[in-house]
Amino acid sequence: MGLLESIEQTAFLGQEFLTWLWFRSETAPKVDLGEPRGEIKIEMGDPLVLRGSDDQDATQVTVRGERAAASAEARAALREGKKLWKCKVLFKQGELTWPCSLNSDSLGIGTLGLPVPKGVPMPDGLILRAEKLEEFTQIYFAVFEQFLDLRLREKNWRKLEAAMRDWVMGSQ
Amino acid sequence: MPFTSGSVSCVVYRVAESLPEDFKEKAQKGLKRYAFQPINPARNEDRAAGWVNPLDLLSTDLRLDRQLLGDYLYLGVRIDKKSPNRAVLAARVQTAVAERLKDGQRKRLGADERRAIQAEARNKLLAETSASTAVYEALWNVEAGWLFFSSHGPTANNEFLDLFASTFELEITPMLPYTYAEQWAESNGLSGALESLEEGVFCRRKRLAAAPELVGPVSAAASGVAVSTARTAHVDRTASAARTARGGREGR
Repeated sequence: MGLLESIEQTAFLGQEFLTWLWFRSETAPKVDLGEPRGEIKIEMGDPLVLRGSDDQDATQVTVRGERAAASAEARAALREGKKLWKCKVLFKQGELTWPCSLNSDSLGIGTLGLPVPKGVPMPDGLILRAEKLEEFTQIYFAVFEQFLDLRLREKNWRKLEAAMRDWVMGSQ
Repeated sequence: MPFTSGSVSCVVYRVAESLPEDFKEKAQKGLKRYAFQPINPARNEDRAAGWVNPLDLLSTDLRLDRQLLGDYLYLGVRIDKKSPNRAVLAARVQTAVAERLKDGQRKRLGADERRAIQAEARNKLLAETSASTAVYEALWNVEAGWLFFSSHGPTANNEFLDLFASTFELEITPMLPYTYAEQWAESNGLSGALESLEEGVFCRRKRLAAAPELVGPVSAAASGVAVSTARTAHVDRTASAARTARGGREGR
């Protein structure tokens, strides 16, 4: 299988990852990344954009509001088989907060607030921001790796998929 | 500028190859060779792309020692594009064709003659049209291999990938869900599992059919949450990401 084909056939992987972040934020929001990163707490922000398959009446749903992730509208979209496509998330690491927008297609980072002091002159200011951006990227991909560890091991995945299904259906 | 102030939006790449011993010399030559050059009207060009200093957009005299800040190589990518107005172009072609027919007292022009008129009108209009300019930033930790590019757009990313490959002659991989998973799975002995991956299902459609209240219309008044729905061509959802990856790995 060519790279392009593999990317297209696993397009759901990014959506499942974001949906898992949402699931974790409501069921077990702390993700232990080990040393030196420690524990990361995940909180969902707004808006949330969910996407489903082409045969659905509505293939995209955007939910906005202070408690968008906890809303009945968002849950209804999940129950219809949609998954999270784009969202705002807060990664909390001790005293530090990393607010950002995530896109499941590219794992691209959007509107990331960097926890750096303002007004540091160039080039030190840029180097400081670059180091923080890299630090966040490593946290982000370490969280993605935790998801992959569950997703690619059949036994783990069957359990997780059942737990996420229960969460979607509202029994947790 | 995205990397120097405010919030940051970017696509993440990895340059996994180790740098050659003469990296600095090669990079300096590459930056000079692929520095931004304006669109040349004499060559009927409609676009131009190249490196600039992101802190001084008009400066194309790039020196590696000035762009290298600690371990980070900080570069700007300038893309100029001219888009002649189609309606104006069509009107000019129509006028020119009418004049030619009148001068030659003919009823019809040959295909070649018509094409020549179109090309001439387009080039003339191109020369009169101002270029639009976009500048993006790239920030590359040359030691650790992380590279950040400040646009999510497929066109800008493809332009950047071409420029990077030509300048540094190094392999660069966009960190898409599949490409990252591919690397991780390989180092964890799970490549087979990735290749045979099937989409997860988080809802129970059969149960939903038996319990219609679960899928009933959503209450619009619920907790101040605004909902909008739209039909979208989600076949295209990975197109931009795939194009970016193809540019990075298959376009060599």
